Amino acid sequence: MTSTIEITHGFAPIARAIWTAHTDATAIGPIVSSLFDLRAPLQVETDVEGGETLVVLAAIVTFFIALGLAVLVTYRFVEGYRRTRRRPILLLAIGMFLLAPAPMFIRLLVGNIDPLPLSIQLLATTLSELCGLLILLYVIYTT
Amino acid sequence: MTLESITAAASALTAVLGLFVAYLAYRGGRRNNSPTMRALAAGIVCIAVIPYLILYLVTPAIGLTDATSLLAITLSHAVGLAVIYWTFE
Repeated sequence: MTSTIEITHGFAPIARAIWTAHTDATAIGPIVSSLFDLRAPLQVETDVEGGETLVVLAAIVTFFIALGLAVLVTYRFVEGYRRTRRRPILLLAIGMFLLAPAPMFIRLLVGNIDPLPLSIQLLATTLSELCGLLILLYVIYTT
Repeated sequence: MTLESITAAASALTAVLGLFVAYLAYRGGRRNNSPTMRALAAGIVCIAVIPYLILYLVTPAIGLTDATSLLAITLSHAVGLAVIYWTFE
């Protein structure tokens, strides 16, 4: 099945198109759509074909694996802080949280709760990563 | 200045800062012989630098589809986080 869609908001429409073409409208629909709002609005014409579905599904699976790993890594840092009570480890945990799981949760939640403009969502995830890196920089510089 | 240009500037800054933090972590890891610091360096590159390169360099250069570049980005995140996770004792 091939249909041509116009992508105006990054990945969301392509995901929506694939999901409506290949699945019933289930609860996961909006979750999936929100995952694909990764980049700035861009005008391109794209063919949605059967083969793309597999790639999108692989991307969704990988996203949730990455989310799980991000939470685990942050948890290990927090655990390290609770064991040692050393302030740099706590800062590492906060920096890691802002760098990895926080932007992923923003992508997951914002797209599902209220359709905020894509640009705001992108700015929020980028700023979260930036703050995380600044904290990591501070920790590495001062220890 | 539009919101899009602020976001683009912030993304570029994130990638550059990510590279710098990763360099410092790598240097510190070598000096103190700490595998965790070296893994943190590799992880930061995979989380903050490679996705930016995929999105703004590789995708336009070789014309990746949106789905493929998304898969590449999430894979990069997963690999980076896995590298950090498996160096915890």
